[in-house]
Amino acid sequence: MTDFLQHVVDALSLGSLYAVLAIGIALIFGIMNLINFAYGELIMIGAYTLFLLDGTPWPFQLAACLLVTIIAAVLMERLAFRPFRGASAPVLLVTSFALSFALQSLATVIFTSRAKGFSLPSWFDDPITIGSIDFSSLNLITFLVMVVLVGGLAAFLQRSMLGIQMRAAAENFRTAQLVGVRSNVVIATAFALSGLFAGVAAILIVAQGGTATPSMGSGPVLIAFVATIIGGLGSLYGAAYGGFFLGVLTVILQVVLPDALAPYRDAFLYAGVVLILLLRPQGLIVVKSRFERV
Amino acid sequence: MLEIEKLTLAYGKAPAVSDLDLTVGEGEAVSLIGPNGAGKTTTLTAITGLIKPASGTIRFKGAPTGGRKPESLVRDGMALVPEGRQIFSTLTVGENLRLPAADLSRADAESAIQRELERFPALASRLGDPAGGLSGGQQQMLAISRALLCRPQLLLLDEPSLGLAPKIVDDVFEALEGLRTEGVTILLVEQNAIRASQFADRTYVLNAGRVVLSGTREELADAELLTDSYLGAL
Repeated sequence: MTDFLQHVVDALSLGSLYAVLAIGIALIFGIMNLINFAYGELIMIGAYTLFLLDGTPWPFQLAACLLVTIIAAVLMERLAFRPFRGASAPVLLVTSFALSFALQSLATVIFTSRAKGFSLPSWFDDPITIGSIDFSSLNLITFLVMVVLVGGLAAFLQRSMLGIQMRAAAENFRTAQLVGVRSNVVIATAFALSGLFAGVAAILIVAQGGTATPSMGSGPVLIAFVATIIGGLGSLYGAAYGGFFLGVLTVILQVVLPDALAPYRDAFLYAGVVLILLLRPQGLIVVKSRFERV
Repeated sequence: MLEIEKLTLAYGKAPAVSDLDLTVGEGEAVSLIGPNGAGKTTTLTAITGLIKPASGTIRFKGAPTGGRKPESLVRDGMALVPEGRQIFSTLTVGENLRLPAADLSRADAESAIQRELERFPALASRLGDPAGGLSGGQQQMLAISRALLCRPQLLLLDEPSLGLAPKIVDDVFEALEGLRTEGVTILLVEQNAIRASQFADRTYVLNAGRVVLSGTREELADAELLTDSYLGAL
């Protein structure tokens, strides 16, 4: 029983992290029909910001990380994607890949390809014991952060005028423009929010691994991409569910696979994903609206 | 209010509209009619700035619209009731109405929305419902209200009677008549040729991307003339 609860804690924590990753991708896709593979590099930029500010007071270090990823995301849209607005989906996709490689190369030039080790405040790793279950405070923090972010995002989208405009733009971008919704503001907001999610993901990933490398965003962005596909591209809630599902499945495989097969965990994981998409090609959540690309 | 000169619009190499000249004076109601595929919707789409002309100019309130974004034209006093209504089905009726009133103060937005609810009382009881659940007629009312909340000087309507029951079509034209008396300039695209030409001060008949006939209501009173031009006999 204790083992089971331990696994539940692990699954909740990993699922929360994956949900945060996936929402960052889904936010941009919902508005622009763009799968931004350079999202991983926002995480990398966040991690190097944390590294550069290692030793400064932690509130400053964490806030600066979020601020830098938000600014980087907005700049990414302004400099790399806006000139291609209206281009076809493959052009946007290739642009995002090119940007991803360019930023990784730039990071390699500046920081070399060797991992930079550092650690975040120790309270990320405090052991917590409830009954017979032991877990680190990071598990709890990851879950709580996900709840706060998803709740905050939902409130923003439902209650604020800008949120309503974003939902309208996600449903039909052209018609939204025709009722006066400012396309630049809506798209910049989507990127800023995506940057915020990437910054949070960077903090959680560094708190877990304690290193920054130029290619550290590639793994998370793949997970985020797969999670949004499973969730049904275009649905924010779907992306969150997809992320959770992947996290839970990963932990289940970790537990049930015999030692000899454990190194092939990801192969089993993605075989499961293929199976789901064969059974439900539209993903777990079907979006009613058809998105218009801008 | 709106002057179009030698407008040519194309999808790839295939021209959809060729050398179109069209004017809409202030306070006027003009209709643009023609069969399916004549280029009516394409013309409206170009006027709103969503597609770029291959050649020719469009002037709105005296200034060329080339290079301007649709939302900037909307803020300048142009609004479209799009074909197929295109209400935001996942948003509530109230949210659909709040969108175009985003720049107004809360009190001004409330009173503007209230005026629309008096114009179309059927919407008042549905404010909190998802707009996708409205009937076709109610969706059209919502689309018209949404456009009017943009406070347009020029209102463009794309097939507002399409797919609606005759009684609802009467309601829509009655609402348009009311708008005309309020001084709103109207450009109406319709397949319902007789109805549209009876409503409008002037009518243009578009066929295969070209204007084949134009005239005032009185000049086009001869239904046979209209039908012939509509079918391409002229």
